[in-house]
Amino acid sequence: MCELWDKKENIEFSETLRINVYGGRYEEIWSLWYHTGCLPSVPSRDLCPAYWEALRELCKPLKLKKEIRHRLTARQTSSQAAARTISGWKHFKYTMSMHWYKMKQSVQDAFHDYSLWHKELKKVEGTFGTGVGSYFRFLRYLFILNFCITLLVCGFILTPQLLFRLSDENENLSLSSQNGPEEEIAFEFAVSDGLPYDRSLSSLAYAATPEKFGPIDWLTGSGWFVTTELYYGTYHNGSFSLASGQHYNVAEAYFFVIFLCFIIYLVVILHRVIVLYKNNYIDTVHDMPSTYIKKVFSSWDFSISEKKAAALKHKSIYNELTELMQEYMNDEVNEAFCARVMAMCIKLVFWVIVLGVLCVLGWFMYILLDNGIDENVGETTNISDVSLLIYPLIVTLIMMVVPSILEGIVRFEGYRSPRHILYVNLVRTIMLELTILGVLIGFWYTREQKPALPETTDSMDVDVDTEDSDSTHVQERYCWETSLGEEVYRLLIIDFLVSLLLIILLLIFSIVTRKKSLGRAQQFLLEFSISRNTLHLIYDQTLLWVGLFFCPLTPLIVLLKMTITFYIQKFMALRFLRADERPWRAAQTETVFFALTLVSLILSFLAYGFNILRGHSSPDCGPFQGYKHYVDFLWDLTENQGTILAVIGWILRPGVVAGILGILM
Amino acid sequence: MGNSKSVFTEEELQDYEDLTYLTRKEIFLAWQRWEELVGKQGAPNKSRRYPERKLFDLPELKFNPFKERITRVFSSERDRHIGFEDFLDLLSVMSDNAPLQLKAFYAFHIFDYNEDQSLDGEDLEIVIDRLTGNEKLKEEEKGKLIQRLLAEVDLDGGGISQEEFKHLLTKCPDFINAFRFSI
Repeated sequence: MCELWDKKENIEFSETLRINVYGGRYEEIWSLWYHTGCLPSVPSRDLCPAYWEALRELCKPLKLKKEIRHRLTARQTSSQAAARTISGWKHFKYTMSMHWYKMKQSVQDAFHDYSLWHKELKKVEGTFGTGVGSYFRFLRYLFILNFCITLLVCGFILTPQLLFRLSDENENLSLSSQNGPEEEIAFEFAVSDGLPYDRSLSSLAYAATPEKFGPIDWLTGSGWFVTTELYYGTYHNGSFSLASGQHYNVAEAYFFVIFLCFIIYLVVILHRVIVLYKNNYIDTVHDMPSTYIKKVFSSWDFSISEKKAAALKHKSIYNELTELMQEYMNDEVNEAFCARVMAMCIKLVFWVIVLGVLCVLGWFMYILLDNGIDENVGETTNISDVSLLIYPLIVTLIMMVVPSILEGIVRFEGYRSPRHILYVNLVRTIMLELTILGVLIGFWYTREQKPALPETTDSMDVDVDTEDSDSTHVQERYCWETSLGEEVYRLLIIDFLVSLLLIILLLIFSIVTRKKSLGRAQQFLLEFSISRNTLHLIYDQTLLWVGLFFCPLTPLIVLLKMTITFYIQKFMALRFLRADERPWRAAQTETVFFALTLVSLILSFLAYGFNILRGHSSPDCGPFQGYKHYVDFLWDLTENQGTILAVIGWILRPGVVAGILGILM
Repeated sequence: MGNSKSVFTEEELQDYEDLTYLTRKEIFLAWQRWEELVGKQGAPNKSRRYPERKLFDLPELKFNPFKERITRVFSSERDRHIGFEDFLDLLSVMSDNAPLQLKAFYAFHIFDYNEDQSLDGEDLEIVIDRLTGNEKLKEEEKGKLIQRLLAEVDLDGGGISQEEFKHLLTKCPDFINAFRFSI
């Protein structure tokens, strides 16, 4: 009969106790326990949080734990115990650490307890297991993160800007009747260096170009949207007064809030990656090949709660075990050295091909962007045209089709284990995504780096084209940040629409072929591919990071997108799709996904850093207009306030950074 | 949920919260599920014990090939009956926050069919049979697999001991992911 109450384990427990609870007085207490089997009561003020943990981790039934706990915290009345008092300092220390521990627990509970989509997640996990469940959990995690960031952005950037606009419009309605606004503005635009603008004029500038709202504007994000708070260009570049003489500087807020958002993202995702890595790291160097053990003991997924899913799981375990044993039964041929070199060469060749294809794609994107711009009338971003959608459509199609092709190619390369195949796929898809986004940013960046002269030349060309007077010249302002913001918006929207379309097609396809037997192509389509979907999520998130500075409402858009994606994916998965029959190693792939997200984040952050230092701010739009480089704004700011520099300098000291990381872990 | 709040005293709730890896909300949910399983009683009686079979209706255990062992191991009185606190124990061990060594301990006892404190050939054979469901592996394949398993892990002969099992699971992070469900 299995005895969980062995004396040996009792001794182990007392060992734990003596180390964590009794400090230096363990000798007498341990012997007391050993001989009598009962624990002396300890005044509760002697206990510290480590005690709770030790008790919780004990492999004993709950009843026994309760009993132990009650005995340990029973009040002491005998004089013996009264003599064992501890100093006031220790008592204070323990109380503080107790409170801190309890607070940490309750905060953790509040976070882990999120009941957002709890039922839906449980249903999906019950049907598909933890692999697919991890995709949905990842989605939920990003959703909550983005939600917090959206609140931050809306509260501190959007709302003040809207308030400012409202208050300003009221003011300027009375002004506009007096001066001729167009002439003033035409005069102001000749200057492009150094001086911040007078605020009333810049806001007037926007009021002077009301655009009509056309239906296609939803898709292109141009036209009327350019004059709204969706993009960087609309934001005011100075401060304005709130009630009672307080000034709110929109430009400063813009800069610091976006910076703060990035820091939050960085810290949270870094923390998660570190935690996952710590839990899932295995020392493969000193490890014996323990694949058989893993395949047997961790193969059953305990969260399965549906009959079909259980049957599927049984089948997949059976398949895997038979495969394994057959492989083992056929003798393993020791590969000759030549064969190994050959295999390596093949892989190398494939990698070179893939990299080559990526370069070609990147160059192709660049040409597309270039042509796209020249086709438009001038460089105005106010014209909403279907031709603007060509680039996003092509990018989206590439992002849909090429990863599948890559997945197909990889099977021919001769990788041994499925996990290697997965990682190679992931890396290549991420490289594809980064190439495309990199080309996009690089294009706009190099474009605006051209010296000021061609800009005015271009607008003068436009002037000639349109043959109009100064009033239309006024409307064509070159605001490269807004253009980039628009591109990101278009990419997001078109990506969303195309994936909706694909899902509808898949729906029709699965309804039509429901009763028929499954061919290979059908199997491939109807499978819920975790890696493809997760990469899609990472792509969306990267778009968010790229666009955050140029289009502050990107988190909101991505948030909506994610919500809709969640429900649609859940619906599709439960009704029509089947799980991958091959087993999925959830733990390590989760780590890899988060690590990839982190890589994308760091790269975007670096790109921003580079932009801030070297990028030219647009002369006539946005919160940083009038400064040659974005970084000038920062110097301007800190000139007046030396304290900020001092604070930043202090924060970046290695000691503080190490301390913060230590707390996080 | 309003009803459940009156079922537990504050002290009991504190106990449960501190001694298991469940949050307060999960404890209430557990009570709800428990009532659904055993049938609503007039007055809530937390210490009443029910035969093991009642727990088999829990969706998470219904299709689990090891359900009999699970209920056997978590029955604290060794009487083939399950009480509410045993149920909480089960949920706590199966929750996300439970550490590996706790899970490894219980998993070891779950897989130990003949209850001789070691995982030997007999136990492994039953485990593999349960895992593959309706289709069974061929005898010789099974035999070879068991041989291979024991050779990989068992250093001193006589089956896989508790320590060896815990040690090999530390190399298997997927185990934590697989050995869990939430209420």
